[in-house]
Amino acid sequence: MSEIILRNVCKEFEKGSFAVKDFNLDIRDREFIIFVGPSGCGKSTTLRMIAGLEDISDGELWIDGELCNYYEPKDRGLSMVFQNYALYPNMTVYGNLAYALKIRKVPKKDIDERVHKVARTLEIEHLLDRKPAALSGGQKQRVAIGSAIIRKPKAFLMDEPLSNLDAKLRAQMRIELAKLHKELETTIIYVTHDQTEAMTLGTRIVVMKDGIVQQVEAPIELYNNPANLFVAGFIGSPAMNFFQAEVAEEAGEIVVYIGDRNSGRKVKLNGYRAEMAKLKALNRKVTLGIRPEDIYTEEEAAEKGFENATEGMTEIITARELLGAEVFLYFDEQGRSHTARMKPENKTRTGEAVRLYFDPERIHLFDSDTEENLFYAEEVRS
Amino acid sequence: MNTHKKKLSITPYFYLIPCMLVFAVFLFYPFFKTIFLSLFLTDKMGQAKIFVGLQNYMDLLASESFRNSLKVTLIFVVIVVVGGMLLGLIAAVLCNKAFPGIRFFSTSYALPMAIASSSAAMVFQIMLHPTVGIVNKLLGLDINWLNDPDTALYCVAILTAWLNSGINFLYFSAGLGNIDETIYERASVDGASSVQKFFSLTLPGLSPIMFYTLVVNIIQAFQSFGQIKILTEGGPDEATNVIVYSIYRDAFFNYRFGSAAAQSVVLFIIIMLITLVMFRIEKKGVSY
Repeated sequence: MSEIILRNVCKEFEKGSFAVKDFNLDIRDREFIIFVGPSGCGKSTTLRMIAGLEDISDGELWIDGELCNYYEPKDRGLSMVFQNYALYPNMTVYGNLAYALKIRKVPKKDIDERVHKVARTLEIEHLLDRKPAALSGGQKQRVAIGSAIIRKPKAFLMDEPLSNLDAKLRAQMRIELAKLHKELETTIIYVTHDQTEAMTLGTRIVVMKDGIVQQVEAPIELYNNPANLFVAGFIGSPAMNFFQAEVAEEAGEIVVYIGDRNSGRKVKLNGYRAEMAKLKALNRKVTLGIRPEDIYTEEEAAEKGFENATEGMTEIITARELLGAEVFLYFDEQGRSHTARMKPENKTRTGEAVRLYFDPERIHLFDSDTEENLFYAEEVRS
Repeated sequence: MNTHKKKLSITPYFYLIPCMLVFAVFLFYPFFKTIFLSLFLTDKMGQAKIFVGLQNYMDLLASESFRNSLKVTLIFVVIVVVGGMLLGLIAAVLCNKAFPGIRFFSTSYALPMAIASSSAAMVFQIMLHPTVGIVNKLLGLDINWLNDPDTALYCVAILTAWLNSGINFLYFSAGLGNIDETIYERASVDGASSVQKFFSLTLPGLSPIMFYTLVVNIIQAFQSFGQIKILTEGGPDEATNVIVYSIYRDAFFNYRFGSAAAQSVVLFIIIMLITLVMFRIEKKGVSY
């Protein structure tokens, strides 16, 4: 059992300047929690506060029902993997793995057993006599993880553990981490700025910006139902496209004009979406968001049956990228570049004009002032 | 092609000439001249007169005074090296954390480096004065520190240790700055106490610089002269007559340049042997 609860946790570096503000989160046993956000958003600081490496300026940290604000790092029962691995350079791999146990005066025989077991799990048994300087990045990473898991802690804290590895190794370690989480059955709190790691590893993702939690949600929910403009733009690659738009009522129907009313390009809203748009933003400017994969060509729109609900926009393709399984078409609108993700069969060439249609069931509307998602609500999620 | 190659291989040596010239005048010539002199009896002007072979060395080994010099030097070196390095290390570890006033403390700890040994000796002379000195006043004692054969050597050695601690502080501070901060954080989470961290991370992390400092300190300690000249002049009763002072006395008081040269050669051999042994040990003991 390991349950970590953060209540209104704040980190104030100088008076009035908060690195983390009012962080609230209940981490359940065996969860794989991801803190994600741009650099400087306070995700690492939060992790370090949980570890005890930074003081908590305000708020409460509970680990397994104990208030741990003032516990020394060693008394919190957590273990941590650092971004630069933090291996002890003067000790061999064996010494690095054994250190935490040696300090706790575990009998030598037990240490030896556990070191070999962990080394076998991580396939580093042949490296036990080497010093960290003689290891590759991936091997160091394994040793760092091994040193963390050998102690059977209440939870693992991982601070961007894969960011120093090359793309191929990162993908491999990602899979191994997911496997390890299953095997160990322990809580993991994982900091990253890489959204692929966030989406693939996490049971829940905490998106942070400027020290404030933006949204806490399971990966797919986060993707389909972002709470605000920032989350919508941060999660997903290529990023969501945003357009200035305006909500209007026309012949009893709620429509969203891309640009302004005179643009003639509009998307008709139905059901819940129409209701929410009417209630919250009728006759107001909004930001319309649509993911690249929710933009379709005329034939596809007709096939899906929404060509009548939306008036396509004619766009000149500025660039085309074929990635094998998909093709990205780039176009400029409202002074910004946008992306549409198409099937690889799409033959549109650069410089060609093409009519594009938005799936009305997949568009998001964001309030121009608060940047909140107008459609974000509990009902939609359930 | 061939000539070109040949030309290339000679040119670099021309660039060495200025530096070799300086070395030759101030190092190689005196060095070989000393070895040469050690085989002769000299006149008062230091000119070699009578070739005596190894007689100067034989006399030295038989001399009670020289054996005493060796013993005194050894004690002196041990106190100076251990004391100077400990002081520097403790100061560096204390100053490795950021706290208000750190600059004042760092400067104070590094200060001995900037003090000339002779002026420090003068200050110590007053501090250790049997009647007006502050040491006796504070401790309520009545010890003639510099004129008592039991205390004189320790006084001079401790002064020298303090003088050397400044540069050691600097070396160790640089060494500590090179240790990755995150390994301490990992050790904290792993459960290590400050003492455990010091012995399992800080000391091994400092070992390369520690070795270098040790070598420099030993050589420096063997060569200390100014403070001994001012404070005790080798006395009382040869209690502080370290080899360097003994060389100075033999050469410039007794005009026995041959014997002084022989002592210099012995000192050179001792320092060289110790350095060689230490470099051998270094290969095994220093962890990077």
